[in-house]
Amino acid sequence: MEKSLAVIAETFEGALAPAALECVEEGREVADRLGVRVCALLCGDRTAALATTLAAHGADAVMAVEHPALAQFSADGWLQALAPTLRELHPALLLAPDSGQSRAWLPRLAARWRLPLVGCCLRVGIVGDGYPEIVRATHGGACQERLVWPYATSVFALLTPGVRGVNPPQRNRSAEVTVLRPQVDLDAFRDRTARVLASDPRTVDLSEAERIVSGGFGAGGPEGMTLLKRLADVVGAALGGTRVAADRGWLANDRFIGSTGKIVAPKLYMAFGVSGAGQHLAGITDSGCIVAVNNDRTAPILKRADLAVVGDLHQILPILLDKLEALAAAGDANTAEIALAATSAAPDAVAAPVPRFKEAS
Amino acid sequence: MHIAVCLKHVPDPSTVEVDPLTGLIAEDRVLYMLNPADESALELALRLRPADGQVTALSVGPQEADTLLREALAAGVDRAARIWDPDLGPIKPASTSILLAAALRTTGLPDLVLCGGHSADRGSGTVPALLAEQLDWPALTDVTQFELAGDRARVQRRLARGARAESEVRLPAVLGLDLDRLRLRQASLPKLMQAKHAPIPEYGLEALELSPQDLHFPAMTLHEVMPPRPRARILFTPDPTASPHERVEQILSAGVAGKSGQLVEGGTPEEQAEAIIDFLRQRGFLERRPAP
Amino acid sequence: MNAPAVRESFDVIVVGAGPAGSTAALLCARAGLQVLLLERGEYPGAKNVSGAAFYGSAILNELIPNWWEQAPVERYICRRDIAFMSSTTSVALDFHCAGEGYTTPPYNGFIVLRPRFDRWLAAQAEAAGAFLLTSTVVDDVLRDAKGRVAGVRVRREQGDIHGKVVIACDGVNSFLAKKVGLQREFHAHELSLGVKEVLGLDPAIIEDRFRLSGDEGIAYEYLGAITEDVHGGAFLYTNRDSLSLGVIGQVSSLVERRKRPYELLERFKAHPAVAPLVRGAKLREYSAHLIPESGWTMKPTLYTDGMLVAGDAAGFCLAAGLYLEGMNYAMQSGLAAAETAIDACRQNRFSARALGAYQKNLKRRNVSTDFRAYRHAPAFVNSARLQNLYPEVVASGMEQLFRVDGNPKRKILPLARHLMRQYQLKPGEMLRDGYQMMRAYLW
Ligand SMILES: Cc1cc2nc3c(=O)[nH]c(=O)nc-3n(C[C@H](O)[C@H](O)[C@H](O)COP(=O)(O)OP(=O)(O)OC[C@H]3O[C@@H](n4cnc5c(N)ncnc54)[C@H](O)[C@@H]3O)c2cc1C
Ligand SMILES: Cc1cc2nc3c(=O)[nH]c(=O)nc-3n(C[C@H](O)[C@H](O)[C@H](O)COP(=O)(O)OP(=O)(O)OC[C@H]3O[C@@H](n4cnc5c(N)ncnc54)[C@H](O)[C@@H]3O)c2cc1C
Ligand SMILES: Nc1ncnc2c1ncn2[C@@H]1O[C@H](COP(=O)(O)O)[C@@H](O)[C@H]1O
Repeated sequence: MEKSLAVIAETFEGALAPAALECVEEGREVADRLGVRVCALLCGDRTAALATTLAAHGADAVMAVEHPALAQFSADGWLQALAPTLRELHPALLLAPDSGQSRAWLPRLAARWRLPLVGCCLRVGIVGDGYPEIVRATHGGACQERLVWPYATSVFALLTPGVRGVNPPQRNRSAEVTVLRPQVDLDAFRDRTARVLASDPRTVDLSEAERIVSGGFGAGGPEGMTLLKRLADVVGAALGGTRVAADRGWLANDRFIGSTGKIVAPKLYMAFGVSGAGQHLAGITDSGCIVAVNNDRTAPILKRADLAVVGDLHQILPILLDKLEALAAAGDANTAEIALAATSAAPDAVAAPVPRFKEAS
Repeated sequence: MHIAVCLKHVPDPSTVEVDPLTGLIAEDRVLYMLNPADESALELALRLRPADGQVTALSVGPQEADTLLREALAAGVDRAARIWDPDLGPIKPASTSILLAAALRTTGLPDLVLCGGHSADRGSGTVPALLAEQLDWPALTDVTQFELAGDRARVQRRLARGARAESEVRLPAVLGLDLDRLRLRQASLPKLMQAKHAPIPEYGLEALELSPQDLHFPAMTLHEVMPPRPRARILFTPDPTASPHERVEQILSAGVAGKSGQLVEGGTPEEQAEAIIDFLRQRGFLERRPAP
Repeated sequence: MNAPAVRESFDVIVVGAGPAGSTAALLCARAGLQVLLLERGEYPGAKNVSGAAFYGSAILNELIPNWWEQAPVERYICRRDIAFMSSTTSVALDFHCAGEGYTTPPYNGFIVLRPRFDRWLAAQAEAAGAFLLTSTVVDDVLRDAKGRVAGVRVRREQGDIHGKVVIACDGVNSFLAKKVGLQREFHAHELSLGVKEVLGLDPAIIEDRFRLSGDEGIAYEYLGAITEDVHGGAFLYTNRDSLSLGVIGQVSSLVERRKRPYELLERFKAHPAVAPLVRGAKLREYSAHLIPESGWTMKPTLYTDGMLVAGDAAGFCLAAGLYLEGMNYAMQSGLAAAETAIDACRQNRFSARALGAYQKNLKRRNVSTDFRAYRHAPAFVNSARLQNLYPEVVASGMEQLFRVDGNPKRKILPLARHLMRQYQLKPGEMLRDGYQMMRAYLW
């Protein structure tokens, strides 16, 4: 078989995880240096349709390992289904997203085959005549190290999601698709996943939240924060704020954002009565869209905002809430989803967060 | 029910200072502590222990690691042991897992092994699966919630962006935990005093019936440590259907520094609220999300 | 080190492993007593603000000869600089001390980083045989049938532990001393709040910027506009590869002026006289702590049946303009308390009367004498005119004196008259302040 570099293309609810595309693109760059092809591996049930996307991001070949029993993740199942294929492929390098799932099965394979496996990778490259070189984060990101593998055997690298980013797809690329339907021994699956639960904006950790509504000193007090909480619920966002708001006790202490608080990376960040001090901004640099409401037109946050509203939040907020809540209640074609977001924490969708652990006896 | 917890002593992140030029850590300022993720694992183990159960705490590390094993003893674990050998040198995750597995075999195999998710130093959360491989047990990682159900454990696992998976695993198993931080319980005063100078058994290679070759595992060579340099991220994909001019503008406005966003100044609060709604709608934040 | 035995009762229980507590525990353990040293922090020093000028070298040298050779010290102090500031100018007194005892052993003062220093000091007490327990908060005292203090209760299960003498070294706002009625609640005007940062900076830059060589260090103290109209001052010390700097503000005036302490600190760092000193330095730690400031006048009774109070808990912190000295007095009073406890154990007498020897020991260790001598200083330092007006006047006077702008130059006397008019200074008040200053510092 032709020499190749393998990528584990993780999926999430039937779609490719962005982290998988990052791995494919990183793999593409390395493969070009090595003069080998990029082979992306899918594992699941009916995943082959994703091959076009993988090709558009750089895969030359896609192998879809399919079985109904693989519809949901199982570490034992993945090992059983993918090990033979990988063994045969004998990749020069294997890339996978650094996710909990990869960490549950790939290290075992590395140990079995006595190959090095490196997690927390930031960048994978090639030095000299084709030796893998990896830059990884240590000490929680406070430090980095550069590792080199001076042998001809393979290396497993787990790439930290979100570090590389994803290029626009190249529609003209295509890949050779192979579907494999291995025999699997279901009894040997010692771990099984029943289902996937969507995230609940009300309980999600701020650093994972997709949307955040944030309040500062300008919110004026607990009443202001209560309004912001309502706004958060109606747009399906988590509530956060500044250190000052937390110091005043308007906000739980694990919910303030900034260099000494949470570092967040939501797609939507809505700031009300937040001045935008350096220590606060340091926590939101990776945010997508920023909406800021502040009555001081010189407030630094306004210069960082995609939508900067110079006005009094105490006047704007009640109207905004009324409008959004009315839209949601009316089930307006455009906004039915708002209601949906607000109720997405339906009891059966998210396990009650309260009784965390059943204590034995 | 016998639970083992794996505890690592790591530099307290708040004392880790990295030289901005060389990337070296100022070792003389570092204080060591129990790996925060392992503190949660330890507390969970103690909560899970039934009346007739036992908890064993293990750590691979030099003598300084006795402090954290004594902390564990004071908090109520039944046994603690440390694994170390002067011949070990710097240890890698693979060797850690071999040593832990051997120690578990020597001290009596438990029904469940709890590990932290990540060690705060150079770790990458691979020890749990590696250990499971050595024991030939199943493993799950990023476990956020945990419940015993007969010969199984029912768990939730963390997925990207706040989503969770509900899984089940047959015991005995190894779990890598990713709990919201659980604080270790307060030890009683007598237990604290007893544990303060309690002897901690140390298992060397000989006691574990291992030879240095058993630990010889391939690992990449460390060439350099450096201060954190963020990688330039492919940030923003301009809309390919837009005109070249618009695409350039799009790229420019997505920069990390000041944005040339839309400014709404003046107008009634009503109009301002309307502007916000329009904006959210335009950017797709009011679009239907896929049903969970 | 021999592991001390686990026991249910001790001769001496020392609460708080700061400079006062660790010194007291060290001396008691050396005398062969069974000593329990209790600290609420995860390790001694964990809760202590992180940098300090330590002027107790000679005292410590008595206990641990050439202690600086093994202790984590940053630099020895060979220069002290006192600056009066307005918002744009500063006038400084620069004291360079190259003499005997300053740059040679036992050295007059060292700059230390408290978390490391306190840990080291407590380890010395442990090595001498004291039983140190950290992460252990003392919540209450135990009393025997006659109402005498007979031990402490810690915030843990089965937390009662008995001791013949309890030495409270639990710092300013001592919970223990209040519990037994040896200390009243402080008034806000008797307390200051210190906020402090440690900023990392390359040693070569420090030496260059502050004109230091080798292990030399400098201590700066500031008065005036730094704290705006909040009463207080500021300081900056050079560590080996970092700077410790902070602002101290009287609690009552912080509250009155609605100032957030870290705003003052930011202001201080931005002052034109300070900004160049801290340029390029990177924040390592941030902390805040109270300081007792009223000196002798807030002195509580320092002993009762079965208990002694030492260090900041007893108000032994000299925070008066030229001085910010607490660690040395903490150690001196800790030693005096230990000596008292050792005698008490020898004679097996623990009544208030027997422990009254503490007063004599404090005098012998120069603690009470110093505090009596400087009893007027805090009130003077905290007077509004000294805090806000004079530094401004001095700084602005100097500014006008040195200004060259083509206008006719004023001689000093007319300038002074002009300044007095400008700032509405009354000669009588100035005379009184002058007298007070002399009373505070000269005799
Ligand atoms: C060492 C250190 C670390 C710090 N770390 C953090 C950190 O991690 N995170 C953090 O957030 N802060 C941190 N801070 C504090 C930070 O410097 C700022 O003080 C803080 O972020 C300001 O919070 P704020 O925006 O809520 O308050 P302010 O700065 O007081 O701003 C309030 C804003 O609300 C606006 N406003 C007032 N009324 C209205 C109204 N009716 N309608 C609309 N707008 C209104 C005002 O114009 C103003 O811009 C730190 C400070 C220090 C010294
Ligand atoms: C910003 C600032 C700068 C200063 N700079 C200087 C300086 O440059 N030079 C100088 O000499 N002095 C300085 N001081 C004063 C000096 O810090 C104190 O005077 C000195 O630390 C007093 O020592 P101590 O042992 O009495 O108390 P502390 O050092 O306060 O120690 C008390 C200990 O008791 C522990 N404790 C408290 N309550 C309990 C409890 N209930 N149970 C168990 N443990 C408890 C605490 O955790 C602490 O470790 C400064 C103070 C501040 C705030
Ligand atoms: N030296 C060690 N001793 C004991 N347990 C360890 C050790 N190293 C790692 N572990 C366990 O494995 C988990 C994951 O570590 P790592 O793979 O190093 O990130 C930790 O949280 C610990 O529970």
